[in-house]
Amino acid sequence: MNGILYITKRTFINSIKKSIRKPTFLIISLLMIAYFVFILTGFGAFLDMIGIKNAGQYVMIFIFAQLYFGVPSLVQLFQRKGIVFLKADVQFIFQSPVSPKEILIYEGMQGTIGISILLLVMSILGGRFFYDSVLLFALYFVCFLISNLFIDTSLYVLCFGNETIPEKVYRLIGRILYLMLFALVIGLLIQVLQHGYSIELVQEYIQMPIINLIPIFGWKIAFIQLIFYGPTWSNVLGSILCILLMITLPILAKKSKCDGAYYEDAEKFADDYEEAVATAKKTGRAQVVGKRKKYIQANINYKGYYAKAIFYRQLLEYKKNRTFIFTGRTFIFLLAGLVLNFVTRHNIWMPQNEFLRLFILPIGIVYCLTFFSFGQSKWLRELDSYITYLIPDTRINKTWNATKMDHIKALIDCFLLAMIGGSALGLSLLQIVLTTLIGVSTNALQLYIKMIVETILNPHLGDFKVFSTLVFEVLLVMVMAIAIGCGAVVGILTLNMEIGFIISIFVSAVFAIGCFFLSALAFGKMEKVE
Amino acid sequence: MLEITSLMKKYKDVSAVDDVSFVIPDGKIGILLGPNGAGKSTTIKSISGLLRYEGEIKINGLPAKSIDAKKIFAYVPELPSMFPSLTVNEHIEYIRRAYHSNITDEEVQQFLKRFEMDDKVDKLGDELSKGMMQKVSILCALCIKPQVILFDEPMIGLDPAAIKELKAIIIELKEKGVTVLISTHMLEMVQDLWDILYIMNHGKLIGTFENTGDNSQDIQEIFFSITDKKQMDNQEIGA
Repeated sequence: MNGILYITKRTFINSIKKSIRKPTFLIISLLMIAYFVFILTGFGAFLDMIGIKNAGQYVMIFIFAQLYFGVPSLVQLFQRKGIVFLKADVQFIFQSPVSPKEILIYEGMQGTIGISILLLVMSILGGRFFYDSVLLFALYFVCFLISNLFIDTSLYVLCFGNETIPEKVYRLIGRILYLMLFALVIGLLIQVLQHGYSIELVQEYIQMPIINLIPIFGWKIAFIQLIFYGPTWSNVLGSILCILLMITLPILAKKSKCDGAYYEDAEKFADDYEEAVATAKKTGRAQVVGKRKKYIQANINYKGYYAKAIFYRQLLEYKKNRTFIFTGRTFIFLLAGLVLNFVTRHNIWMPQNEFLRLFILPIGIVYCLTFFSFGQSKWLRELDSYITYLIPDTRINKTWNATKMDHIKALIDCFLLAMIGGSALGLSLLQIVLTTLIGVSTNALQLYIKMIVETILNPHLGDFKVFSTLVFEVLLVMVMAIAIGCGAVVGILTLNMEIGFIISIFVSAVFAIGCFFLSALAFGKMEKVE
Repeated sequence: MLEITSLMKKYKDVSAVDDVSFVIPDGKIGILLGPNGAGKSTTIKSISGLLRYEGEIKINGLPAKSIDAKKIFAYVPELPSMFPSLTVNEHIEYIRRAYHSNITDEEVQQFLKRFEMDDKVDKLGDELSKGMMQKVSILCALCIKPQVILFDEPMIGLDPAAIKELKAIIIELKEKGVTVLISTHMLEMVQDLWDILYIMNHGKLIGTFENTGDNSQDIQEIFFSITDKKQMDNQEIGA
């Protein structure tokens, strides 16, 4: 344990030292302080907005957190995924003469400290805004700290370190727990539909005795309710059971068999985790750890050589996907189109102004492209492969073929939304096509600006790389504003919005093409890419 | 001494290691060889306690998973990983504390010098190249002053000078009575080190050879003769 404590201490100190040396540290620290002050001042308004008027209603946040974060965390522990061990932990800590149980106890205590800091902040905020309950918040925090230290740390050993309960049993426990959560949500929804939503209704719902009787989580919730709502038979019983749990779980954890069987799963998870982090950094998209993508058999007939092979190889990769080139974004665009179609056809919302009806779709498409386009492109992976640079072809051809598929995907996604939504809005086919092209040119702009920022700007930003997203957003908004502005001006002057659309498409395409040529520099030398 | 008895490891229905048994006495260097997918890494990871397995593994008579066994056992993995925020010195200090090692500062300095890492002691884990990480990994294992040491492809990523030093250190360990097991593909690198050869294929131990000490045995010839023979036997069985 001495060694593990040493690692934690030195890692913390060295991380602080490293951060302080970076010029961005001061800026980020100031931003975080400003954000915290904003939270403190704005939090009260937020509570008012959602209807929380007293401490009893405020602690519902703790109650829901206990259920909807606590339960999945427990299930994750059973599946040996709730703790992230790094590969260095596997090499150095697992090998060292430390009991596997001690390692889990240490991790459990770290987890408890982390949650406790969060709870402390929430309790301070609660005490700040509901001054008459300051002592109650203080009492709850102390009770929470003690109970979590004993209960959660023991659960780390009993669940993660479990070597006796068969997998079937804990899968069943997990399913029952999730079913219970689902039932609670359905129950609440039924109450809301029957009686209408109010914060008092939710408060009454969570005070149902059945919730206090749920093992572990219900008993912890009973503690909260006993302190803030006063005694009832169910929360007193639940609190007593919680205290008994604090005594029995550590005893069970001490006696449980734990010889390090979890090392194998932890090592595998460490490999998958580091791979997922590396992929997420490259693609900008969160990865599911441990889930291997399943591919189907596919063939391709290469209809071109040199740089064209990049496009056909990408096509082959997409053909091996179960969903081909249709991604989560396609689903979102389809859903957006259906929702728009539904609300306009059923007169839930139909803009009467023709001008407005024409602009709803392009605005919607640009919004969807901006927020749902992460990790769509393969261009970064092409730049990671040395073969890309060795292919005997021009940078322009390589860039075009590496990104051609992105334009095809954007065309399909935007057309789906435009067609389904536009038909209900009464747009003509020409208007639907122009709207689609606005989406395609916006997507192209986003893509090539991102390439420029990541491959040309980032290597020169050094420690200020953290602001590159901001640079990307500013550039994109600037260009889109110019394109839309030009289109709007022309449209108003000519009293013909189709011409305005065409101008917008033309301006954004010109910018996109300019960015395309600039981004092609990235395909020149591998050194540029990080 | 390292004793492996009836080691078995299955992944779903596939036997990665199938009834492997061998013993490496004190002061001997065992070399574990085999083609890709033979089960060497699974065997190594089982010995180092990273996998669940059936069978028995003992380190100096102690069950491999016991704390007492871990105190005298060191493992150098194929792909080293460092704590990104710890310096080289801090990695070594951690090992000294975790193992309550009796290695002196002078001995540590000597090892650092031999691997040309003495001027890099303040480099953080994420600032090290692959070769440097490998050296730190080896250094940390040596700082334990183990009685049994396991190397998994230790020479990958090392420069020629470091390989020479590592070989010298392995011989020194042997002379001190340490049991050494090396898993490697680099046959020519261990030609002058080996005492016992263990050749694996398809999860089984297909050959064990002791070095007669007269430099007449060529590892490559032994390896290819046994693996080619086995392949031919398997082909005949298949036919």
